[in-house]
Amino acid sequence: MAQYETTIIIPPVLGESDLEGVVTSVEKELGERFGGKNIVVNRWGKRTLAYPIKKFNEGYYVHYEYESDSETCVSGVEGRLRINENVMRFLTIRRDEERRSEEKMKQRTAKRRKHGAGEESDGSDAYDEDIEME
Amino acid sequence: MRPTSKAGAKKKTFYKKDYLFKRKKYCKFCDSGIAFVDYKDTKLLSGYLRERAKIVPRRISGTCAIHQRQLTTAIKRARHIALLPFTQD
Repeated sequence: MAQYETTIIIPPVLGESDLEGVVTSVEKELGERFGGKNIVVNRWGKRTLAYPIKKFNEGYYVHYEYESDSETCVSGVEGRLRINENVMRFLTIRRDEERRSEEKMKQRTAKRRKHGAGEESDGSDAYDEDIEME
Repeated sequence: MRPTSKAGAKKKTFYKKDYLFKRKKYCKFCDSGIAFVDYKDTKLLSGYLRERAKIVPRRISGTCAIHQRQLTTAIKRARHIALLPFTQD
């Protein structure tokens, strides 16, 4: 089962009910139309954007976590989001591959702690290495 | 070992290293045990941006290759979703 995360930005000008409508409609589409399971909705709320999007300096962030087996789930949802005028931006990432690499890293660090407490040098102290200051 | 005349040796041994204290760099992600760099953690990521919002290179921050790779993708994701700026003036 692949795990995904999708974050969307909704324009700040929407009223309470409209905003609620967008959030739930995306959730519904995720769950019912495209077969997402275990959907978790996190509302980050209104945040200032790092740069203006569509001349808005603020945006309402909503973050979805879900699982799916179907290949068309993400592409389907993204297709719908692209059409949706009330979604300024969206980002979907796959989480399970990252969780796997997370585990790998944990193993790696554990191994290092075991072995390499004594060996500090990794050859980075080349003699005429430039000195960078910042 | 390079064979040098006395005059040559005097010139060549004048390295920056001789008069500047150099702190050993290390990967802060390895040190704090972060196994995966998340794009949502803007507080952490913004520490790896220069004032013009460019990504700080590995040779300066000392981040290890694996974590630098994760860091760049995380920063790029955060930029797309407007959590971090592409540029700043």
